[in-house]
Amino acid sequence: MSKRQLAMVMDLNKCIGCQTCTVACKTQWTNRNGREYMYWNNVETYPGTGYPKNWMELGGGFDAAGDLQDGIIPNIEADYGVPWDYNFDALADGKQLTPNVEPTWGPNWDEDEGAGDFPNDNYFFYIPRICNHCTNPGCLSSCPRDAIFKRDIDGVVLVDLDRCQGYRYCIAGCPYKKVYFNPKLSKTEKCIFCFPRIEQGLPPACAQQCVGRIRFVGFLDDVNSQVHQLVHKYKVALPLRADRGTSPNVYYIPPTEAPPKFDAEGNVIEGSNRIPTEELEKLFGSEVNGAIKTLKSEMAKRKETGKSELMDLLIAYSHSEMFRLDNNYYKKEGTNKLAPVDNRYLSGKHTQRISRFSRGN
Amino acid sequence: MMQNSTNSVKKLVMSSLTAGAICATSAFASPVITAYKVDGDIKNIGVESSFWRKAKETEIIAYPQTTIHLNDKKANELNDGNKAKKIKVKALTDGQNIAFKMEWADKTESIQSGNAIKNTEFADGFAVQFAAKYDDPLKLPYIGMGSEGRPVMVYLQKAVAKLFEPNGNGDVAKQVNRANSPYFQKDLERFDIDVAHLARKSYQKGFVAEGFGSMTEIKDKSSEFLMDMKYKKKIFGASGWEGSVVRPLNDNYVKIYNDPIPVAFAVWDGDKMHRDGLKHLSTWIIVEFDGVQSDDKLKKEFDKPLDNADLKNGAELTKMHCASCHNYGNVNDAASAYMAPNLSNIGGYSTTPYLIESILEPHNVIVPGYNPNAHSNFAWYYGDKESGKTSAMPAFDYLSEQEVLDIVGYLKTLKAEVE
Repeated sequence: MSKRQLAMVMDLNKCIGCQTCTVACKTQWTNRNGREYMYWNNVETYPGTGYPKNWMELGGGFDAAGDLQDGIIPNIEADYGVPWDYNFDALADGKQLTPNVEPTWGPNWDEDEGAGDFPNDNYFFYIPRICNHCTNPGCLSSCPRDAIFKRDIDGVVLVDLDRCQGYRYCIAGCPYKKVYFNPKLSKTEKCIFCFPRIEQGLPPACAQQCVGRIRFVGFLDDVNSQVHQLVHKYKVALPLRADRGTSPNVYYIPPTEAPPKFDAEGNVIEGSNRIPTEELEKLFGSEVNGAIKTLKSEMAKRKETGKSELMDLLIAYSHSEMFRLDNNYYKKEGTNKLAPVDNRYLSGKHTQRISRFSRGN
Repeated sequence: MMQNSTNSVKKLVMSSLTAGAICATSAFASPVITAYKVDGDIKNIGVESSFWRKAKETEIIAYPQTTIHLNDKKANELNDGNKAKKIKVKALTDGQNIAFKMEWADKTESIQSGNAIKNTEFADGFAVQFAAKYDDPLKLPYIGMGSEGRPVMVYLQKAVAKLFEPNGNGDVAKQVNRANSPYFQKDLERFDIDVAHLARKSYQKGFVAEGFGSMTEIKDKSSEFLMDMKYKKKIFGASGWEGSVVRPLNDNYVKIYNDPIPVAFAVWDGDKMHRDGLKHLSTWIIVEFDGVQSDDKLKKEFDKPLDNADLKNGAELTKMHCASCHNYGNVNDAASAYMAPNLSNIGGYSTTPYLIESILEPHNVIVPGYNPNAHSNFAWYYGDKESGKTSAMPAFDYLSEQEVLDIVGYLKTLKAEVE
């Protein structure tokens, strides 16, 4: 466990699935060679196959006894989807626009499909997913090379690319399949919680760019952070699939607001909600019932009295309150800025020098 | 107490070895490789060098690593019930360098291509391991990448076609995806060529290690070596790989004189998703120098058979004393498979002195085991480097000499059949 823990809260009632976060991350981090198929941040439709395909069924995480579970490594061609591009150059010669590979699968192949019968009880909602920077990460635990580490200063989980040998056990071990293999480097890469931005007092790119302002970022132990209030004070933000035993640090406000269902005659069923509670319990555990209750009662309170601190929080008035990075925390700590280095192996025991990231010549 | 038990180990090993030597049928349990002395420089040789023709071939056996269970479900299914593999080894020396050539059967040539859409390719590969210190033949490093205070040097080559450095050797501009580059047509073709030049064409690495997970690549050029591997397709007989490694006799990490040395070999089969611990590995094998007559302790005392061990009694004692924590073969009595090293192939890749030391002085030969977070209820040791590590296994120094010999004799029989 780290000294402090950074966390993110995402309000699923407000996510419109616009993928601005996905693009913010893609252009910031994963537009490099070998990362084409990777989405450190993705937004998937629930219910749906997700990204990679059926990630919830691919094992990893821990059982009740705390033992790491075996998992399956998804395949780019079958499970993530091969990214395709078009022959834009050839258009000038009057040719047809064709993709360079036959598109057979990709992230969000089933976007907005959802489940149920239209128009009576069909439903879906979006889940944006990043690495959960777990307190007990499955990826870290499955690495036989000690190449994955959790920063003591803020709990961000990083891969030491010097130590990583591309064994890919981390992918099997992560129950969220949020670690990716870069075939060109033969190394693992994953969401870094935009730590170079965080260290400068900026939130991760996905959070900053979010047009729905659904993402809150802060330290869990900072009682003044909105993250702390949503998770610990109001207990309306819950981790995804906490049953997998990794103690994730990305929390979700469950989707409570959906239109009512229709009966066979097309009449509104009063008091009904299209999103089945069982599905929410599967994702967020039984605690989701308490969270829904709190959200509903605070909403009612706001309607009646015009006052509700929780509703004010969720309206997300200003970035400066949503992203509380405990100003100057990193400066005070004097961290090794921009150097993703695992201190345990800072100097080689048997070699004079271990290569480290440098800015080049 | 410690002093006493150390003496008892020495005494036991010596007496067991002497007893073995007296036995009429005694022979070395493991084969001995002879390094053939050549005139000429072998510093830059590969698998196809004509120097190899003169060297004598020795067959050794590599056993499937089953000490720890790794967490890749598909790979585990593919490797269930693996048999042991034969490796043919030759050795050469020119007085400055030492070279090894390995030959092993592999039906499929598995190359990790480096293609951006292939994330489940695994490479065939091989490794040669040297003990940094081998003066005391009774205290060689643990075979699985050494143990604390007993480092090893490992040379590893994998059949990887193309690899890039994570920091692009500082050339950030060439790391962008071609679609994100500012180039078109001719310029884009040139960009592709420039990028291709930045790739490393071979995966050859030298590591130092003191146990699982501690392996650290030597990148400061303080150890020079050369490796080579080629796949040989055969119409008659088994297709397979040839691999070679050349290193100086002396460097900062291992010093080799004309005396026999222990060397170990490992091979990986990419087709079976082998990597890391999913591999076949040999026990320590003695390499002696051609024409050098030496009265060497290592060769004399290393791993002689335990002809006077009562295997039946050993099996019963093992079941009584070991099986509540260790699983092996069909014996799965441990409360959890993660409690202790699985001993199913221990007889294949462990030496007799190592097994004796493990039973009598487990604290001296601690295997780090799993990542401590993976199975947190079953740490294989307590404490840390500063405070001193204590093995979770108690010392079984109250057993009689004969009882220990019987157990070790039985453990030596625990190994997979040869393919």
